[in-house]
Formats: sequence, structure tokens, C-alpha cells
Amino acid sequence: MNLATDPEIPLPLTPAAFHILLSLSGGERHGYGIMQDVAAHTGGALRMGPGTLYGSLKRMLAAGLVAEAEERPDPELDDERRRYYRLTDFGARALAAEAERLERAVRVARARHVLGERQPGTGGAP
Amino acid sequence: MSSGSASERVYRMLLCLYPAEFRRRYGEEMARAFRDLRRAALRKQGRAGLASLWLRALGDLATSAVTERWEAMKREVAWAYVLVLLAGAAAGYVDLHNDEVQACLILMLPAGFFAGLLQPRGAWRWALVLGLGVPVAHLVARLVGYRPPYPVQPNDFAVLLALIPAFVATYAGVAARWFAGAVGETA
Repeated sequence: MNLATDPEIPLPLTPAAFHILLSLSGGERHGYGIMQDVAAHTGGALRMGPGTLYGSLKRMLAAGLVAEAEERPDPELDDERRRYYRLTDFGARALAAEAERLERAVRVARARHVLGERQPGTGGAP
Repeated sequence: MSSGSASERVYRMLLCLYPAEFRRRYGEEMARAFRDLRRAALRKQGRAGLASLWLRALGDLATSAVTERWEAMKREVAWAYVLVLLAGAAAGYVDLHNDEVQACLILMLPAGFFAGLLQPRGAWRWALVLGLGVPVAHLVARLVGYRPPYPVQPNDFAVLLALIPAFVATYAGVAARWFAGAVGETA
């Protein structure tokens, strides 16, 4: 089944939900870990605050896209116990569907020369 | 008191902008995340980093608190709308088939009272929806050519009198809520 046409998957995802799912695809993370990872993989373009993050997580928990994992300390930060979040199977399908949707949009943008076509050996966009 | 702990205390205070349910569930995690962000900002950019963090945090607080408040309000009022819509529609149906005013009042008065009692904020909305059930039913009946089995008042606006018991019942509920609160405070 084409993931993008699965009626259960709520497409399009909000940018915050997409990047949270993308972050959790790398493994369980706590809230601050998600914020750090999203800032890193967007090159600092998306810096979610705690309100946006936990508001999104609340809605994603209700939609079954993510689930709460156990509380445990983060050895890299301190010995305080933190709530971790993980991707569900449904969340993984939604992430794949949204990534496919975005990929199709990028393909169209390239075909219409909205984006610079990177040719091998040309050294970058025109 | 260090500037760090002051920042965290102010941030914790600002969490009161969120609905209580959201704050209970996520408030501690949000405060902890802010503390981690503050430490990272101070480590990388010093006070300039802290100022930049606060600018982003205030914007985040303002937008997300409004979103959470709006969602909480929608959840709270949804059932009240359902209650008064059903009762108003039922009262309209009954009024078209029965010329006894008491039959309508039996439906309208408890619905208005409970809507006002349990959700006093914006109670005029419940009263209006409830009270318009009868006039709307008469309007629809006229449009589809239905005539009630009793002599209809020549004055079309007479059906708007249904708004009176709707408002009285709803605001009686509001008053009961206020009275219960006042008694609870003095007890």
C-alpha cells in the first residue's frame, strides 16, 4: 500500500511533528535530546522551545505517533531521571509517508528548475 | 541567588500561562528542558546567549500557551454545546407537536441549569442555543409546510419567548455555581 494514501496517516505532518519523528527514528530521546537533535539536523533553522515541543508531543501521543518510554538518567547530562519518548510503528509509517510526500515535492521543484540542478562536476548550483 | 536560578524561577512562574492539566503533565519536563537550554546557552555564548534564549522562550511561551488554552477550551465547551443543542432541538420538536408549555420547559430548564452550573464561562452561548431551539423548529416547520396540531399565535415572534426560560435556567445554574463556590470558600 502506498503510504501517502493511507487514510489513517494524518498528512501533511506539521514541521515540528515531522522533525520530532525524524529525531526519534534514531532511537529513544528525552525532550531536551529531541530539541538538540532537531536543531542539529536542521542546521539550527528549527529551534523548538519547550512549549512547542511538549505541545506537539502531547498531540502525537494522543495520535499514537509516539509513546512514552521508561524514565532514566541521561549519562551525558546528569543523574536526574528523565522521561524518554520513542517512535511507534504507526509513527514510523507516518514519518516514511511524509518523507515520501516531501521527496515528491522536491522532485517537482527540481524538474521545474525551482531548485538549482546539481550536475556532477559542475561544483554546485547555477 | 544566581542569574541561572532566577531564570528558571521566572520560567517556572510563566508556566502558569498553560492550562492546569497540561502544566501538571509537562510542566516539570518543560522547566528541566529550559534549564538544560539555559546551561548550554551560557556555556556557548554567555549572557548574550541567555538573552537570545529568553527571546525565543517568550515567543514559544506566548504561541504555545495560546494553542494549549484554545484546545483545552474547545474540549471543555464541546459537551455543553452538545447538551444544549440536543435539548433545544428536542424542545423545538415537542413544541411543534404539543401546545403544553410545560413539556418544553421540562427539557429546557434542566439542560440550561446544568450547562450554566458546570460551564459558567460564556453561559450566554448555552442560553442562546437552547432558547433558539423552539424558534428554529417553527421556522423549519413553516419552510417545509408543517402546521402544528393547535392554533398558532398570529405573532411570529411569540416563539422567541422560549429564550426567556433558557436564559433564566442557564443563569440559575451560573448563580448556583457561584453560590457553591462562595459557600466552599467560607466553610
